[in-house]
Amino acid sequence: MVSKQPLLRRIVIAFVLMTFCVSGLFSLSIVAVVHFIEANLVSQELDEELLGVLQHDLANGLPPRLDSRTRFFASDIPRYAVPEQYAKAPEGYSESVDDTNAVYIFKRNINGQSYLLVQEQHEFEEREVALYRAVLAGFVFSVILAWVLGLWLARRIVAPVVRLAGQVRHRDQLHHLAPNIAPDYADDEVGHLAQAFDSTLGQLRKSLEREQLFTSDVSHELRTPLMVINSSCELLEVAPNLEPRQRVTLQRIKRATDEMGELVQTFLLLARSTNNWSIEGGTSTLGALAQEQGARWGEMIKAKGLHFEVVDQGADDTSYNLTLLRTVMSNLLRNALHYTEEGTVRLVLTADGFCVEDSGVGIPPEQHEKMFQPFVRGQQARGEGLGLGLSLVKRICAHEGWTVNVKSLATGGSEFRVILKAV
Amino acid sequence: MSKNPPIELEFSGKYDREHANMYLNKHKTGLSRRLSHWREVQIARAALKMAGDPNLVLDLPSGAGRFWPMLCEQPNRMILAADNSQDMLDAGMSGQAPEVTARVKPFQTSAFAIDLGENAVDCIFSMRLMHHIGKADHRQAMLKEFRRVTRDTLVISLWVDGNYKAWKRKRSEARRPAAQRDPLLQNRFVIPRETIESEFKQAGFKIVGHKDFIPGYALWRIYVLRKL
Repeated sequence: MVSKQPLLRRIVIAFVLMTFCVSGLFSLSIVAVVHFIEANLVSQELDEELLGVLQHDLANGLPPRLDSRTRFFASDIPRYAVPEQYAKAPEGYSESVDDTNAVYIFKRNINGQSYLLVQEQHEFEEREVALYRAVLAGFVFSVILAWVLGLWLARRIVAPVVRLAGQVRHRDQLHHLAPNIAPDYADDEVGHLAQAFDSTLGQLRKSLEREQLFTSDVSHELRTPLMVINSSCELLEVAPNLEPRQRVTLQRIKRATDEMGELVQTFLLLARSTNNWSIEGGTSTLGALAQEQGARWGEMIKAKGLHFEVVDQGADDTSYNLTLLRTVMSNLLRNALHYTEEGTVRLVLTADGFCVEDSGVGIPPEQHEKMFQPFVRGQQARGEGLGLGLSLVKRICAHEGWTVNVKSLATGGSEFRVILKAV
Repeated sequence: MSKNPPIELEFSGKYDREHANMYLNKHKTGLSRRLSHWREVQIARAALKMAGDPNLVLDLPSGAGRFWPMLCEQPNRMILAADNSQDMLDAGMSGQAPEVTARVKPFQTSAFAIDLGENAVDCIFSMRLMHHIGKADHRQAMLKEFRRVTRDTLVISLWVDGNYKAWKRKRSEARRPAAQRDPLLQNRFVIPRETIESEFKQAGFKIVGHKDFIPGYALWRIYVLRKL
């Protein structure tokens, strides 16, 4: 699980763990060394003393000459009978610590008899306990210090990474004047990362600009030939000797040209920076536009054998940008036409906007959001189209402060609702 | 955005060319003015540090650019200077040092409809604007607009209560009948700290910290806010 911890916590955990191990090892070795030295020194001292007692005092019939802290016991001399608690002590050095007293025991077996020296060690034991306490306190303190220091150090180490992460967020939307981020950092790993971000984001920006430029150039270049086709169609229309079949074909050409003209206009809008969307196309009310679009698309929808109706549920006289609103409405109607095989298409005008309802294939709820992304088309994609229509609708709505959403109707089919203003 | 009627406040009309040049020199005359300018720059610098030394700063309103030299102290920084008055911007661009103006891009805009896209700058640096705005609705509209344009932080100065000057101002205003009040003072407002802090939160900002001009005495306070 450690791998999922934040960087900061990981550094702190590593720091504390390392200190825990190192200072724990040191503390344990201090305890071990003290114990080892104690055993060695004391056993050496008691050994010499016991030898002295046996060889000099007892051999000469004298009582053992010992200080007040040390007592002598021997298994073969009744005066110095070994108390029960010391009888089971192993040969050589041992310690006995209980609640009332703490003693060193030194036992030596000579010719089947055991001789003991028992020395009180209260004082030393107290010091020993104090030393152990100091070692424990030192251990705890060093772990706490490691935690504090680790936290401080980790913050310092992680700070540039955190800063870089913050700077990169939404960086694609940043104003083009924004300076590169790499100069903020030292020439280290983070600095290199910042450089990589700078160059990648720079390339991204450039390619976006190129794409915009390309789209706008192409759209611009297409306008002139389209205009030529359009005017030629108009000239042909007034020609007197046209057969009805030719006239129908001519109208189809004209309609396709109109659609293409609109598409070019749409591309131009997309390519331009959104702040420059002007209202050069004039303004219109919702009702007037619905009539125009209803007439245009209604014909095609009816030609497909569907029922079409425009329902006015209280549209008012507010004026909107004609080009933008027309693009939104015609894209939604085109969509309804393409994806409906039988039934009805309804354009409903309300006080706060309008909605387009169809009885078509419908869109699964999980795809609702995706529908508004560029180049995404429904699963039952059909007809011509680049999948740009709904994306454009969404972009225009975002720019104008309108909202657009889609929901599935209970009767099957979908409803695209555009809210133009709050009521 | 474009559908809402633009908010125009009365005070923003007074900044013509003459006024602008006066502003440029105003902070260089007299010891107390110089001291107060020095202190203001000092706390603004500290506030920017608190905001993580942003690279692309929108100075709004930039006025005649009296904070530009301080903003340029960070070598890797570009400044977008915006003001409602083109005259003020012109005064700044001609009055400040060339090495400073080389890193400043001025443009005229309203604080309620900033002529920039979403997340366009690292930090919005707004000195001496909020205290002109008395209506909470207007403040909210401005904060929302700031939130849209900034990618990360907002450094904003205003007048708050909870200090000696605010207490004195309240007392003297209570004494004077409304008719006799100084009309010039009526376009500046002390906003209670709790009110403004909840307004910041409402607009979608988190308070990183604040700096007082003179703690406990002066009205000025700079807040550092981070976009949530």
